[in-house]
Amino acid sequence: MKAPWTPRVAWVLVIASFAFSLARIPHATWGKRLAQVREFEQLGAAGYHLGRTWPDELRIVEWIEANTPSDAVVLWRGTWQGPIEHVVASIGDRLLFDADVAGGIPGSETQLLGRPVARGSFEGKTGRVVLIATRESLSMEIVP
Amino acid sequence: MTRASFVLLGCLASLVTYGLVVHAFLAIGIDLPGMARPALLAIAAVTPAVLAFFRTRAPNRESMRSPSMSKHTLVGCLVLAAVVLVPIGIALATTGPREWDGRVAWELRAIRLSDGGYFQPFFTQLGVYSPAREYPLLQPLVLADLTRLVGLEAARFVFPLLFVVLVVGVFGALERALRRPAAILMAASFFVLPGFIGTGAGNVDSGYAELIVALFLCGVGSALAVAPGSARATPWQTLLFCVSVAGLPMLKPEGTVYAWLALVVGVHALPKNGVVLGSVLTGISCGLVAAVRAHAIPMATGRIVLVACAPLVVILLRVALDLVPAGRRTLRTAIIAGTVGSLLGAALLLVSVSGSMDAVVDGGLGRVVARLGDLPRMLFGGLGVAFDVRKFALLWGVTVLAFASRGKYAARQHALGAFVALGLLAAFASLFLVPENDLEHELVSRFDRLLLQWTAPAWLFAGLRLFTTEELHLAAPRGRKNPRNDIELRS
Repeated sequence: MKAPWTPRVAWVLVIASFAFSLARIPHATWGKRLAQVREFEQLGAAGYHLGRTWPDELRIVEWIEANTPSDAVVLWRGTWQGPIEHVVASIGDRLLFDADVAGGIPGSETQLLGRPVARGSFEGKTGRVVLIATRESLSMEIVP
Repeated sequence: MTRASFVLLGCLASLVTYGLVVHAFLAIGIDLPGMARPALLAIAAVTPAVLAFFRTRAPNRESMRSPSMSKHTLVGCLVLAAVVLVPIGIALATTGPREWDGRVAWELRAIRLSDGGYFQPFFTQLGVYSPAREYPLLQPLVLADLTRLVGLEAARFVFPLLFVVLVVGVFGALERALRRPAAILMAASFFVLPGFIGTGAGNVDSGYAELIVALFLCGVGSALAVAPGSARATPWQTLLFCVSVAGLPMLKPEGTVYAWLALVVGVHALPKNGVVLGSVLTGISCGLVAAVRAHAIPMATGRIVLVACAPLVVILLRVALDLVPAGRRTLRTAIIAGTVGSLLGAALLLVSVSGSMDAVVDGGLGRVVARLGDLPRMLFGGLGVAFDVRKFALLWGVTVLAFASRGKYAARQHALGAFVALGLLAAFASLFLVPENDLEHELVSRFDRLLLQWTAPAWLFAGLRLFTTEELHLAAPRGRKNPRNDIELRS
């Protein structure tokens, strides 16, 4: 009995799919991945995720790591999407806290959640650190 | 079920047992201290694994009568596995997730869970910035507890392990109906799918949850697949279905929708006991996920109860269907179709009120209506993503062919086909909810991952529908009569 054309076409597609995927392994599975690994090892996690696209934001992260306690609460306001997402993953045990919510909490000038609020001196100002987030960028302000 | 399918069942049963127990403790405010949770994970993993091991030592009755795998084939498979898994292993051992959400939405939560448990400000204080706070926790919990056991670098190797189980599960389901060489070729094609082994978001070492969602959807697909010579799911398949649907809500927000779709399709395809058990387990799972989330995002108890009870509607549907005379298939189908629509809407609503997807649901009905004008753009964009060979090779082409094929060699896989079709429809429908200016971004960065989740059941459907041969079909498993012909033999 003559077989219909669909299984034959399907087998051709499956074999073509298999062959195409196999052919991509040297480039996509090995080459690109190992290139990413090399770049990651070179730049570090924060450098890889932030520094390549947002070098200024990486400098802010480095400043926070160098100038604030390791368990500090860093204030922020703005859009939750964008480089701020990688900031939270790059600042260790520190927490980001909504500056507007903090404004309503008594004593939040120095402490929040039992942790010190990040303070520092930057561009001639001294006070609390507040990160301003947009979808495209991140900046830092110092407020009293 | 074949030996390979038992590996899948063992893995999913472990994950679900562990997930339900941990969620139950978290829901009542108890975070198991120290190594208690990792120990629970180990116990949950070992018990079904032992059962699966003894089961797999038994004769492989339900696989097709083909000779055992030749040495050459075995060596070929091992070489292919090494070629694919070695670079992934190197990457996992030397770097963290290199894709966006893998780092900030998934691994970050696992690290925090590993360090300080769930009841810490990062999860429970709304003022604290916590990406994906509303997302379910099963994957981060597993990674966190493995981290406590063996360290983060070693814990990451759970992902390639899950990927191997996924491929074994695909092979196991295909082995029941295809000759072994055909099943091996199909499984090997799935194994080298660029979306999983390449470098984009959702791949094996990206840290995303697409892999684990695909694993559970593979479980559902495997359970809904009709084996040659059997009209209904076996008890083991029914169990596989129940653990799969119970696990889905603990993985990602869309998992709840998928679980509901599976239950609705299962109404027609599974024994009543399976429908009842699956619905109850899904209800428990949904309720626990909502109760745990309520510690972070306040939610009224009534809503949690509603979320938990909603899947029980499926039991009522099954009872209602039993009351309809068997001959009235049109009426039965209409009831199912009506219920699918309403359940899907209800699922989206419940998911939204329980704190997830707020960002996409904010636009409401107005956004959906406004989006109708974008339908051609969405359709062509979606097709462009699906047929991007760099991500899916020709997988969706074969799937479309499977849906289009008719005739005596097209094996009936109504339930599996309906499940895949509804899942793809739900994934596409989600595009109606995204903000207008985000459509292009959503197509290439989210819709492609939704498709990746559905690759396993789609591949199962394609393989079983297109390549189940008449000869093999007629060879019913030993000791079981062939109650219904599963292949259309019209001519």
